[in-house]
Amino acid sequence: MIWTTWRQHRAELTVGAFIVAAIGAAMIVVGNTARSRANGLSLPACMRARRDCSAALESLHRDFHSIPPFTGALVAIPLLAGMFWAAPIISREYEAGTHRLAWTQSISPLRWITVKIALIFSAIAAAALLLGLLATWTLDPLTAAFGGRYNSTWYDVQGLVPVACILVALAVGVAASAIIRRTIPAMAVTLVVYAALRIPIHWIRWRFAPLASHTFAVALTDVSRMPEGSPQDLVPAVASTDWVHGVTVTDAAGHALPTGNGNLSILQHYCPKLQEIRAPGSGTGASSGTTTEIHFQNMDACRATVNNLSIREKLSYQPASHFWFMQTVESALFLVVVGLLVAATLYAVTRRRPT
Amino acid sequence: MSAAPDEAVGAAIDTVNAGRRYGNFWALRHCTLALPPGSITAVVGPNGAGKTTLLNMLVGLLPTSEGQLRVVDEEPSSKPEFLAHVGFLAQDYPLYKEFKVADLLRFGKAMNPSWDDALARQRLAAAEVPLDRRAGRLSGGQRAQVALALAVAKRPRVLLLDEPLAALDPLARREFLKTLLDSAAATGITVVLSSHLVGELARVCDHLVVIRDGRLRLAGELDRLLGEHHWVTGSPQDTQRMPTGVEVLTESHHERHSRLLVRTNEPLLNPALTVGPVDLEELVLAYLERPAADVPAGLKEVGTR
Repeated sequence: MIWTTWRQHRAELTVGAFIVAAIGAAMIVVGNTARSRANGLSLPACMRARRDCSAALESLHRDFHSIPPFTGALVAIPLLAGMFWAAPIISREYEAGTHRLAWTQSISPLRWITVKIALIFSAIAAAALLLGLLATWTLDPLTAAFGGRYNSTWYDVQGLVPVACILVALAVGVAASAIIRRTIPAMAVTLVVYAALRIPIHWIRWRFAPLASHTFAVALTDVSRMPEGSPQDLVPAVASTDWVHGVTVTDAAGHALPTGNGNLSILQHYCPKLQEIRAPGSGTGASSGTTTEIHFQNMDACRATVNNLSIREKLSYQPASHFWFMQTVESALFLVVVGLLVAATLYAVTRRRPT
Repeated sequence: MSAAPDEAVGAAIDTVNAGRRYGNFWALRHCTLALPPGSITAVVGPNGAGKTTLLNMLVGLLPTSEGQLRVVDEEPSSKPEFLAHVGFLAQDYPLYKEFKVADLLRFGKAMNPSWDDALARQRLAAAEVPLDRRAGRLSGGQRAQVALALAVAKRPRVLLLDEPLAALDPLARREFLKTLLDSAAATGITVVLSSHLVGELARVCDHLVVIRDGRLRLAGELDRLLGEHHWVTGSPQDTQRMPTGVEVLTESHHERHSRLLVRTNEPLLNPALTVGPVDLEELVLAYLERPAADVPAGLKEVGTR
């Protein structure tokens, strides 16, 4: 059965090995280049000393701006593997009638599909783990310059999540293949189901670890300096590698303040007369409309009122240190899905249906 | 050897009232058969008669909806112990097209503990099938030979072949049947093959099953069936009065004479009648054209319970 699996899938396995080798080589080159460039900019020393490293970070960002499209393309690999490798695995047998050949040898269909899934899934998982850990190493020196590892494509290509992604894509493909028994519809279903499983995870991922929070006082005068901005602009710098989830604003008594319209909402809470007005001349409808500046009536009066009031901002965020924990949670969640899909596959194959 | 009820105990294939339903449609129903070990049985009927359903049930690919099946005293299933006893050649000889013939032999060896590699190679050499050619590039006759070699080399006790002749030209048909007969004679296995072609089967089969619309129409030992059926020609008056025990299957009447196909165990002694033998093709056609009976002819001889 091991030989049969190899003989049936050696083309895919060979192509897959070449792809892994090519991506791996590219990652090693990028990782080495990025390291020497960051060292050349003295970035690690600067970060350790907690100085302002923005010049070095910007330089690094400029030099490696082509990396995010590259990592973005990697995110498509699990989907392609699911559609073009997993989805035909069983349906191709039904379409060619070879299931009648395979399942009338002295081997049960259960063993046939179990060995096949076990071998292919382990080979792919090993390759994905290798590339995922390699990507972690490659992207590490660039992390600070590109806003951290929680960025969705960078999160999906690093650590353990690539293994979970490709296994779930393969499991969706194999299950669709076993249940639908026709290749093209199984590929279409794989596309839709994989997207439906992977896309929403980006909206709920922040829940996978308890949020850290940071509370601090902000003078209302600071708010009034930038009435058009958002409360988040007033937050003292969090590390660029943290993932800010949200900011809540409370008054001195601890009551939440409205922030629907940014800082202006907070000011209007204290100064009901504060109003947004257009600069003179803009109301004529002339072509100068594009250069309209926003002015605020009664802003000076408002400033006088709120001078001594202070508000508190509570910042919730996923610190960079939660990365591995969140990756583990997400991977475990997807491995459960993989288990369910594999069980569905085994059920569909062994339940003898009209052939 | 006739398959009388007491012999059914040792039958290689024994079905009792077996049936398979797809929704409200019965692909096969009330199928009761007992085929002795070493027999070669032709299952004959038009396309869609239920032949493939019967064979797929016998090899365990398809569960029964009712009734019982026994193949070499085991219930067909997907268990390796059962599958090792049954060789199956599916319709259109499905093979992995990208495998070379030698790869298919290795596949057979890997998948079957009782694999007889020498036998497979000998069969393929005799059929002059090149081992280094991909299955997808073989001719229809060669693919059939490879599929047969795979089915035979696992050394089964029962060999089931689904429409093995359908895709072959007359020469390849003859070659295939020769290989099949050689294998069967050498190993003494029980063979069941389905076909909608009747002509070639007379030389190879000793048992016949006629099936249409999911019902058995006729089943029994071929020589005995041929011996019991006769063409009877005579004047309309003479042919109208048949002795009891003579069953008239078909009749065509003309002004001067009538022609009847009859079944009887007794000799027809009326000198006014001309009695002649019937051949396999005529016999099969007569039963296929008859309206379906509740109980198929010949069941009494094939182990009714």
